[in-house]
Amino acid sequence: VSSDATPTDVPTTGSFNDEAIPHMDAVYRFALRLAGAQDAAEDLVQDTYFRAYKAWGQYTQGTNCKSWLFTICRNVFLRQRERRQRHDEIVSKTAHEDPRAISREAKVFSASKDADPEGEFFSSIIDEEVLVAIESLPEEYRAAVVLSDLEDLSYNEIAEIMEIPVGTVKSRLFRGRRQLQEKLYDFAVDMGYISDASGEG
Amino acid sequence: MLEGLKRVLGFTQNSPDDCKDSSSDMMSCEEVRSSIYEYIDQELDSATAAGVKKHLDACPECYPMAKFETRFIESIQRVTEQASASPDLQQRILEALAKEPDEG
Repeated sequence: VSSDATPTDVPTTGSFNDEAIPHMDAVYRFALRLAGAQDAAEDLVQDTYFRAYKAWGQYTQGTNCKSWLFTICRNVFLRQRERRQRHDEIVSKTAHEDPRAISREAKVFSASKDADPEGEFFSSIIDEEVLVAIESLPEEYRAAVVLSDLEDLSYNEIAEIMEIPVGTVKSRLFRGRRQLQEKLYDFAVDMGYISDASGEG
Repeated sequence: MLEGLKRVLGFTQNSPDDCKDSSSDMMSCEEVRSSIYEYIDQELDSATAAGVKKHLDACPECYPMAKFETRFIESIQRVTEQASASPDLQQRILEALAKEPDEG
């Protein structure tokens, strides 16, 4: 007797259903943040699971299946994007990761520290706006921010998924969050949650 | 992760002079600022985290910065999404996989 909704006639498939399928919501959320739109995210999830199924023999059972699926998902997304944007201008695909190039200056904090030193304005920004801001980040930063802040993964797990060293995770997360902060600050100024004290446009 | 956030929000601030008077055993503002996210994310080893905390408790410049950054991180993390794969998508995937020959 086997379930009629799932492919259970081969042993590897059974474990696939047990280990990979339960992560579909998480993979979907990750795909949604990468792809932006629901349709595209659903296609991405479908492709991810299709590839994961084909590569199931390469997965070491009992290890972190969600990370493994995220890795596939991101690789599928990057390949699709590369294909789609072949003729378009892309923001530098492999951003230089020189840690010395990271601005340690907290521009937003400096700008708002007189009017709102504890960043109360962040609490006024609705979830949807935060998500829009996250989606507008360059992919390298967006993936790091999503995996850390929305999926609550450790730097080591993110490094594994993005196939980059932990030090690069740190710098991407640092830059991504700082860019995000600037976007949220601009939004808060536009909405009147905070007055622009930066003196800049 | 929330523990880390609470830890940052909950720290107590000591005399502002402690920072300026600090000797070599105190981390610099620059060091603290460059590792503030690692601190909030609880990615620092315990000795370094203790050093950051010690600095934050004493430094009138970095203390508000840390609270500000913590508030910012909270605003992203609270977004924890409601989105989930639709039953329709799950069904479609399961059906497609059922038609696939096993590759294992």
